[in-house]
Amino acid sequence: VGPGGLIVAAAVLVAATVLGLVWKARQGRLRSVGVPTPGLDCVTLLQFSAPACGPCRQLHAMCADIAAANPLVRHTEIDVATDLLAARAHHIRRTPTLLVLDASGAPVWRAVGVPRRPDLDAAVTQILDRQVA
Amino acid sequence: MLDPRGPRFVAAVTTIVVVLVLITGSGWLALAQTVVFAFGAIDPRYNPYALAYRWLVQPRLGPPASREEVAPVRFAQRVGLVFMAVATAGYLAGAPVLGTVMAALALVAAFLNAAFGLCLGCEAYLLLRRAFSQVSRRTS
Repeated sequence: VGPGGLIVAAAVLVAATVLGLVWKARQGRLRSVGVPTPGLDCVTLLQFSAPACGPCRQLHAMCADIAAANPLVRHTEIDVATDLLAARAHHIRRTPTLLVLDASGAPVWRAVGVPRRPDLDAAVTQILDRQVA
Repeated sequence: MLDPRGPRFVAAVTTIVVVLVLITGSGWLALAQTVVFAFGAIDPRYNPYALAYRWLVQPRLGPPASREEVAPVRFAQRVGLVFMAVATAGYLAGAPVLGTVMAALALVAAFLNAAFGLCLGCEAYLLLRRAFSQVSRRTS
């Protein structure tokens, strides 16, 4: 056995590290999926969760906290195991998935995984500001 | 339900063993890892590294904050079993390139799980389950 195996192992670890960092950066990133319609002043945090999903609880706590602090924000959680139709209607592939809905119920932001708190706060504020304007 | 730190620990030990397999090119070490995966393929909690975690590590950590499903982890162990079985066959049958390629793929999965908590086998299981439920919905 030459040094081939060692080189392969090192190369694999480097490549996998790059892959892992890219995956981690994409986790929980809020994507814009619509433009908020002007009108009533409220935002719904629609969370899709599964039983036995650790990050779902983390996201639940974050959304509940935002909803508690702001009376214009509502937090609704859907269990994909029991409400398959809702999950299919919104093309939920992984849990947790979070949809940020405007007053008309149209999705404006979408995140798979747990978003960073400042990013989610900003997304909510953006919709509220846009709807008032 | 599993303590999610268990599979993570298992992946870390697996990473070290598979790196050693690649460095030494040892078919027998690959076989040992294959046997370890075989136990995990029956039930992830039977994986010898998982037993070590439960007896030696978990008592020091306390109860987990959350639990995760068994089925995706079991599927991941089965995928690992297939890869390491082919790697073992390659090394022992004088096809070290096959052994190296399969062990390298196993290393990617084990390392991503250990270092980032990304379980490729579990993701594959969830995708397959979803695809399957859609097929059965169409045919029903």
